Amino acid sequence: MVTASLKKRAEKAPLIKVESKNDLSFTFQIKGKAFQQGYLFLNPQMKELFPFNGELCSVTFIDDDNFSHSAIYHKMRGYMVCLTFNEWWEKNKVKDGSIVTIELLDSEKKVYNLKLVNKEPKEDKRDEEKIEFRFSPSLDSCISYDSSNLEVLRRIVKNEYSPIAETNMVQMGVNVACGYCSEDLLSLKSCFGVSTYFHQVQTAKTVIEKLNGRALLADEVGLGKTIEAGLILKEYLLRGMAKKILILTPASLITQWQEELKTKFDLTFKNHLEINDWDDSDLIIASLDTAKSTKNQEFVKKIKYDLLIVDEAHKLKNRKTKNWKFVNAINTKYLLMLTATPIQNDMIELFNLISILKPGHLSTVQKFKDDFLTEKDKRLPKNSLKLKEMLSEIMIRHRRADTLIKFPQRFVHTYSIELNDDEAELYNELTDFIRKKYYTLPTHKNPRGINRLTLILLQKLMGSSTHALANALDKMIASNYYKDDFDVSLKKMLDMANNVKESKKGQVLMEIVNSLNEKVIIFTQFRGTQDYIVKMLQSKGYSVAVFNGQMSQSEKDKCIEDFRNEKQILVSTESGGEGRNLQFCKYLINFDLPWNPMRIEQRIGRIHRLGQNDDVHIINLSAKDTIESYVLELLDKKINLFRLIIGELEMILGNMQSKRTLEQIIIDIVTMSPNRETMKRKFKTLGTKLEKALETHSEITRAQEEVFNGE
Amino acid sequence: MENKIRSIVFSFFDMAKIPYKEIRKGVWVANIPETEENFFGNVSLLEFTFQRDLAEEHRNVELVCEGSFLLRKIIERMSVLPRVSRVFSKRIPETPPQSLTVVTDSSYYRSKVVFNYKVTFHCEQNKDKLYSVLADTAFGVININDNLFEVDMNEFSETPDSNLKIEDSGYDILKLYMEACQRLEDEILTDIKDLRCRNEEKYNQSIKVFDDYLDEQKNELLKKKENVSFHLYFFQKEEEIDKMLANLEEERKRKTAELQDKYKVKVSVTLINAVVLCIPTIGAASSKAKRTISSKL
Repeated sequence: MVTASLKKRAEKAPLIKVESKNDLSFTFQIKGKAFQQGYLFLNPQMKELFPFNGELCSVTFIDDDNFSHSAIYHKMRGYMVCLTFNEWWEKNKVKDGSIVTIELLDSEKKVYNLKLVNKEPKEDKRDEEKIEFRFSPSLDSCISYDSSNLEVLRRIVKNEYSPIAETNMVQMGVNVACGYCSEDLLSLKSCFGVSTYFHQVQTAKTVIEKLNGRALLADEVGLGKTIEAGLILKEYLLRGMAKKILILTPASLITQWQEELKTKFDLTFKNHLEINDWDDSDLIIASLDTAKSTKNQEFVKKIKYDLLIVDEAHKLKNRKTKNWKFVNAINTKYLLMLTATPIQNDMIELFNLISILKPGHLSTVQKFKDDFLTEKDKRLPKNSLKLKEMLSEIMIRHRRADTLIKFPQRFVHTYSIELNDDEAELYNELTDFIRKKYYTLPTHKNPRGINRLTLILLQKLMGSSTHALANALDKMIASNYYKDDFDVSLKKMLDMANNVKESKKGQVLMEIVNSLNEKVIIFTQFRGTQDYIVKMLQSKGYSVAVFNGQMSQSEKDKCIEDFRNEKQILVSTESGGEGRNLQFCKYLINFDLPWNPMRIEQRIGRIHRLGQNDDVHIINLSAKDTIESYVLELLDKKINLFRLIIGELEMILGNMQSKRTLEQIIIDIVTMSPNRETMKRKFKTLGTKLEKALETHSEITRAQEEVFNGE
Repeated sequence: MENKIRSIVFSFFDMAKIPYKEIRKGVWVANIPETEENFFGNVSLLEFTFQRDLAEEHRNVELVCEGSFLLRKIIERMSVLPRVSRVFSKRIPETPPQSLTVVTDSSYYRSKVVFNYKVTFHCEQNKDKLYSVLADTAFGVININDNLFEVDMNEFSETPDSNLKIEDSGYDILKLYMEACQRLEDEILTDIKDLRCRNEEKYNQSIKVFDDYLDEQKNELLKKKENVSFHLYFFQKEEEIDKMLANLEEERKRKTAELQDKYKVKVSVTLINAVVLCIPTIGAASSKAKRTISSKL
């Protein structure tokens, strides 16, 4: 072995003698060939300055002319190999007897200073210039060598060979990963349930290839901005261009984002509740409010993200707010901001959004005002062509009309049902009970009361079906937890529920189903109601598929397949079918109505979404003079919920400027109103607020149209 | 491609000692040990398929295909473990290189080393390039190719001919590696220059826009400061403006550093693996020859 002979030379070490030494440096005199031909042999004293653990280490020497010399240190054999030592030798006219000092500069990075002590004065500069330095590993500082490279060398030196099959397999993997054709979007190949529309693919490609990953995605609502963002983020992940990603979204949309990314893009994002530290996971989704809280914002700002996505970015419209300042301070290479309404009240809002993405792109505020703002209306631009041209370098906006996608119509049919006498009596009894008992909620002294949530649940169950209510009451009584006086009331209501002969809503449902010869999805919030509906339908000979949250994943898959292929009716609870394609069905029946309108929108979104080719029919069953009927009236009459485009509801509700959700407001109205009249009045006031929110939304939508599409 | 992906995934499971079996046509299940659960998205049983239609039908079944995130993670994980293999040519012994002295008429194995590299150019569109550098330790010759070297196992075997000795060429492998790196750097130099040129241009454009933007803001603030004496609380106002000016400078520093980092040319070189090819050679490697070659280089 050649190493044996080298070892002998190193061991004998007659050629190098250390003249002086301290903790950070040593000086030696060059003798013979111990320091040339690309090698430096170290004697035991010199080795002390290179106390590294690995058998092979990368070491950098910086000479007096500031040139870097990359070397590999073979610890066991005690020598350095460096291809540029010879050049240094020649350049400095090093000869036998020259004195050299090596001094430690940075122990972490393993950087040393290489200095010729008795350097001869430079005589002829031209001679020196003739010597050309070649590149050596890492000499050009932009090139970095992976630390694992030395492990490959170590294995060769140590004769640690792996089976060729393993080596080939690793190589095949690299080949597959590098062989991807960058012209196509890789992300499309493994996406599910994503109807990839031309405008979405085009957006993803433009952002990645032309806008350098910083863009304002401002498609009109309902065109799939989330899908576009998902395509871009997955593409960056697959191309290895992004690793650390943060998504900031309103709290109400976190779960929806998580589900969409999982079901459509096969990506598992952790939300802020699932992490201990902001650096815990590479893929995190959080609400803007959580991230910017005093507790979290410093951590977030310290992290270097590859991609930041901000949903509902119009919340950054004002540069004086904490939202704007916080997002502007996040260190990120790529940035996507999503909003359908970049301008809400004022063109300056657009300027502020763009300033985060590309500061200076629209010049300064004053110049922007001078160039683009009319004096009359803050929402109207002048020089709109010039503005559009500038925006095209940073913003992408599609209108539904531009995409040529067919958006089927939505027909809403509401059945206002008069409850049977026994049902109405039970309804009133329960509502009174809730109103009275709300003021005797459990306290520390009296914990055995019915809590607020339970009362609200009972009200919702009643609104769904007497069967669901009876099931719940039965369980409450059996639990033996509630105090005697409650117990009496509960037992009374249970008896009433059990004595209800026939459900009017059930009858109407059967009539509707009888009249349809099509596939139908029936939504309910409660398992008790689901069981009742299924039993009723099956007794009449209908083929029914049942979908609920207690089913395993494979059972859910089978259920959807059965519904697609053979069964006529799908009865589903709230958990039904997130991210699943149910566009083959065009009839949806809301057997009961959630008080949270976002849930209603999600139900509609199961069938009325991009990819649906037929007109869709939504059928609402509502019992007259019940809370559900008031809620339905609010949502249908005041904000046209059933006709809104998916995604629009969040924008309208955002205009209410309330910290409470609409559901919380409804709950307060129901529980805090001393009588029916007060409740009706409060619902009316809420209706007015909703109307105003819708009005604001319409104005904002018009403003976008004027700015982005007007002449 | 599907077959390649299948081989990669199954080899990975074998290497990681993760048991797997086909549970129905086209669908496999792997029992993920607790230590690996995090890697597989916190599941203990991973159902997977290579066929898109099956994955569409059964949404709990993970699709592993070109463009799947799991495949990328597996490949990355496999690449972390550097591999070195040695194979022996099945060919008849070849005539020795001129520089070697034939001492006997017997034969021996002389070594060639293949270094397979991945070079990543970090830029707007990350670009990976693959290279193989083939070095004959006897000749000291280094050739570079712009693809990975694939060993043809029809020509090579993993077991040596027991009659042949494996001789060392006397060439230091560390030096050989550094020479290979040097050769590789020469090869990618033009790409780096182009990239640097492009990035510099983009950096200059971006920084100009940004500087102009800040300068104008600064001028606006300075103008305001000039007029501040008309303000009732002018001390307070002046302080406020000074603070805003300081903030602007802070912002300039931050953004400049961010842009510099963004447009800095970064190239990373990864040695994917190395394969030692043992070639039967007539004669024997003499120590004199070793020294001659070594000193030439």
